[in-house]
Amino acid sequence: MGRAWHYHFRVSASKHNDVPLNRFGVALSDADTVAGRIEAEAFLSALIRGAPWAAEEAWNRYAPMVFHLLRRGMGPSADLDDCVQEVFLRAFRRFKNLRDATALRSFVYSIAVRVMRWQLRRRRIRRWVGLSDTGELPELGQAPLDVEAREALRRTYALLEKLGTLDRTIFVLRHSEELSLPEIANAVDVSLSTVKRHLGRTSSRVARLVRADPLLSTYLSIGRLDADSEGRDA
Amino acid sequence: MPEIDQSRKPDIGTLLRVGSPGLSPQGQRSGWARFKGALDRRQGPTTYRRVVIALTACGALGAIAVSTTISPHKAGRSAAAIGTPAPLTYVADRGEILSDGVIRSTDPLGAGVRFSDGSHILLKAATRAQIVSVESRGARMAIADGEVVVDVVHQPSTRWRFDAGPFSVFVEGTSFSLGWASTDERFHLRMDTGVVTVKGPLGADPIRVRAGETLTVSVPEQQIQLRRHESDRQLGLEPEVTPSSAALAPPPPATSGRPPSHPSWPRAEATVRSMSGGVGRSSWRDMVAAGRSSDVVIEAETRGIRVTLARVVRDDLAALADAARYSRRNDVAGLTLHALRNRFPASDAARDAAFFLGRLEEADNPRSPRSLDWYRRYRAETPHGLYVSDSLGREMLIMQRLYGDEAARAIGREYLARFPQGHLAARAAAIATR
Repeated sequence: MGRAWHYHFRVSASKHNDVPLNRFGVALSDADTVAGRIEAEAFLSALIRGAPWAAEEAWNRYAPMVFHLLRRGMGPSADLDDCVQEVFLRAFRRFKNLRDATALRSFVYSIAVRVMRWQLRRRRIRRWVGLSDTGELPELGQAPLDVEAREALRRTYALLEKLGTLDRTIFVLRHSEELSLPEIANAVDVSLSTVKRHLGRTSSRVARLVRADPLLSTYLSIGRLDADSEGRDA
Repeated sequence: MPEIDQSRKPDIGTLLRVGSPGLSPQGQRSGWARFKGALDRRQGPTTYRRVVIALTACGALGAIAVSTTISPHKAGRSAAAIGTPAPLTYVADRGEILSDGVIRSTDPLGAGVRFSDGSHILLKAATRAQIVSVESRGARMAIADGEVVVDVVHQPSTRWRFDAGPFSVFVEGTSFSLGWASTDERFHLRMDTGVVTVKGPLGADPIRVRAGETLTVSVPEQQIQLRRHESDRQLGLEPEVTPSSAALAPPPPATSGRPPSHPSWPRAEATVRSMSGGVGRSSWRDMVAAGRSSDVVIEAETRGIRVTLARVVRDDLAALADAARYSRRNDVAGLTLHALRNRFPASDAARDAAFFLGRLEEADNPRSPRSLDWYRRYRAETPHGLYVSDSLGREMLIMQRLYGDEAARAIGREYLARFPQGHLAARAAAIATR
């Protein structure tokens, strides 16, 4: 029997107004209303039934989110598009196991995190056995940055390549996606204490590597890295 | 070395975010095309889907072209009306009739209207109704809420029509009681004598209701119930079975040992008859009328849905669409309605299919913009169709759900102007004046 998926949104107040937000910063007003819930359930039902319009709508709603996560987490990668496809194929296979229709977004997000971890692990293994993925990053493509920033970004990804899969995933979710620690624990499916332990250790290591790099040490602020390595708020 | 202001430098997360370009619209489109291909491969009939999509596009274009060509038929009807005998006259009984046709009761027990041809309509207490038009062969009345008891004198070419919410009852000479509850969108028709034809938003084809039968429809639940009166059974009356239909009737369900396919469809009580006047077998339309919608869908699936949609005659295709909708098989209903539009684009059933496709989309997603497209297409193809008021009202509600009162206001005003007694008039008024 398939696993039942339950996701709960954290309701928090926006910095700028009192609109409740879910963990991805999306206003919860729709999901909180009866109409919103009915719509969510009808949408999930249509997805499970295989309605073509629902599939396209799901793609339009969630593909940008998935792409962003994978792009930030994995860096410029030739197989990024394949990974996005993989996320959606997995999601469509598992929609029938989702119990809470309003958690559709976080459900897709969690699958994207799993695919990202799987891809990072695969990349490391291939590097170990010498098949390819030497650790050299491909060009950054269309990144809208000046020369110095592009070099800093290239070195940052090279630095992230040195991290283990779980460490890197937690680090990206914390620093790039700005998830809270419980949200990271939920997305990665590990305990909160494991997240804290890995994040402290990884942040400390990244801070050390940044300080050792002449360009990164002058370009990047490491205050937040130090805070995370010490287990306090930045 | 000058001291660097740490607060002005980006942190690593900011660098990752700024340095990661988002998904371009082109990338999103090409990604969707690729993913759709993967989905189609996973689900199987790729070639068939391509054909369906192509035929749908051709059918839609054809239907639009044909409806544009044929539209003058209403003008012909108007011309035919010229020179007809004087319309019926009527007087109110225990009430008054205002200039706009609204019947106002002066008696707490209800009012009545007596027509010059001897027909009589009794409005039960608190019923809101209006006489929309009167002609020599009958009249048209709209019931916004409540119940009426009708006794129409049968004459050659009688033309009476009663609109109850989104349903229309076409009378050929009969007596019956008719109710419409606007709050829970429930339609109720109890036939005493004669025959009427009912058209409504739940079926592409009309349903004929005969003496001794009661038709109940719940719009929100999409349930239709056609049964014999309890009183008839107590009196020992048998369902009306014509000689031809008796030979066509399926074996009694009670002896088959199979439970009814749907609790709201009492199979044993329904009269099995052919609406098209005698065919060589029990047609799908007969089965739908007998409450055997699930059996129709099962039969189609046994034959193979693709083969069925490609080969069956138009009436069976329309019956299958109704059967699928009644038995809540919206997947089959959608395919069938598309097939109806593709194969018979010039037919009334194909034009009505646009409205039902909108209803299906709306059932799937109450805020679906696609249902808006279907409702608009229906009105473009059938500007004077039976479901025009309903499609306009539903468009208003969807616009309100999607974009709020402001966006729905113009449609609400149009609805009020065109259908002041429509079953969504109260909601339209609320939206228009908010």
